[in-house]
Amino acid sequence: VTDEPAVSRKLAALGADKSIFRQGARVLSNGTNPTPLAALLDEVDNTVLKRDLTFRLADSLLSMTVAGRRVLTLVAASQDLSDAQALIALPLSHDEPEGFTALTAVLQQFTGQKDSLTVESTHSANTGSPTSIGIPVSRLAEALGLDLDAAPPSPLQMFLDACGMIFVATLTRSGEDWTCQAQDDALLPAMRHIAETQLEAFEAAAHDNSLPALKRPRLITIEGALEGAGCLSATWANGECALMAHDQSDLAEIHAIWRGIFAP
Amino acid sequence: MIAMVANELDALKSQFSACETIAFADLATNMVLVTNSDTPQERHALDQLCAEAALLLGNPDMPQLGTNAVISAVVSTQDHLRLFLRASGEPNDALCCVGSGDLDVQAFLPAAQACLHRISDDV
Repeated sequence: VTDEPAVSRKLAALGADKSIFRQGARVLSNGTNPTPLAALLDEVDNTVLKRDLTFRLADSLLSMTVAGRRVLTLVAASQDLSDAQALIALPLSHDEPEGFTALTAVLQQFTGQKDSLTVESTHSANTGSPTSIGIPVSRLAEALGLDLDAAPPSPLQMFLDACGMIFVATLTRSGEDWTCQAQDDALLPAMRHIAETQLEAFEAAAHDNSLPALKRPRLITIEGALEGAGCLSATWANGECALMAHDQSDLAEIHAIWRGIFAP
Repeated sequence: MIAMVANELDALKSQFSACETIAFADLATNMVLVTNSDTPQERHALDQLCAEAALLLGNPDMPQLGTNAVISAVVSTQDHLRLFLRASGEPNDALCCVGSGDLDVQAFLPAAQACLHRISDDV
């Protein structure tokens, strides 16, 4: 029986942007987008042939033998992952609640830090135990409250969510329409004016000047441009655009959040 | 005069290791006039930097993006951080800066503004 959603996901993954490598390891997550936990489970979900996957996050390491989208056994773990030590080399099965619960705890502990996650995939030297039927990634995802089939929020939406209440007013462009969200409604008319009368000309001028294309993600903050607010920011990413009003004192934090999501 | 400006730019850059290039530009002619002495940027890149400054800072009476005169602009991309400042006394004098994402923007902006003020007063 063909699992069409799974096949579609694999094809989408194969057609996605080229991978980024850091010191020979493939970068799966920048710590935020996607989350390290989702990225780790997704990597297991994409592993059909038997492989040893070695994940690194900050100073932590977790290595596991994976096949058929199942975690067969843990191969190695850094000492800080205290709960993992007892699981190493043990055959895992979703029918063994103790090992299943322990593995979910290890995954949560490992991915708890907000840092970039990398993976190295090697042929497995681990012949494994014949009793090791493994734990399906779908069961792990279910236990950890993740939907592997769910479309993740767009990076721009993640950025707006991460900034929380920093923005006093936000206009987001989706297709031809703008949606607004504001703590301070007084700023909205000016922001709508900018969105409707200036933005298109600004984008065209950037293009005409051969400036680094707005097709690539960027965040611009303009100080003094908006009466009643310290700064006006604009961000473009993946065909989406948003205008945000905020205080000047939040400028550095906003750019740090943006880089955390968009910078590889 | 050029040496004085270059010294100012070098002095500012030396305070911020994450800063790579600082250029003093004239927005009226869209030209970078002086850069810090060890900038790795070539002429074409400097011209683009100046064009970006003109676009973001705009005309003092008519900003490209906004309803009021722009004081400064900060741009984050996946590779760089770029900052642009306009002199308060002479709207065509601008400072264009390129740095890495580690640049302490909150500390850099007032230091750069003071540097631009000194240069603009003396030029």
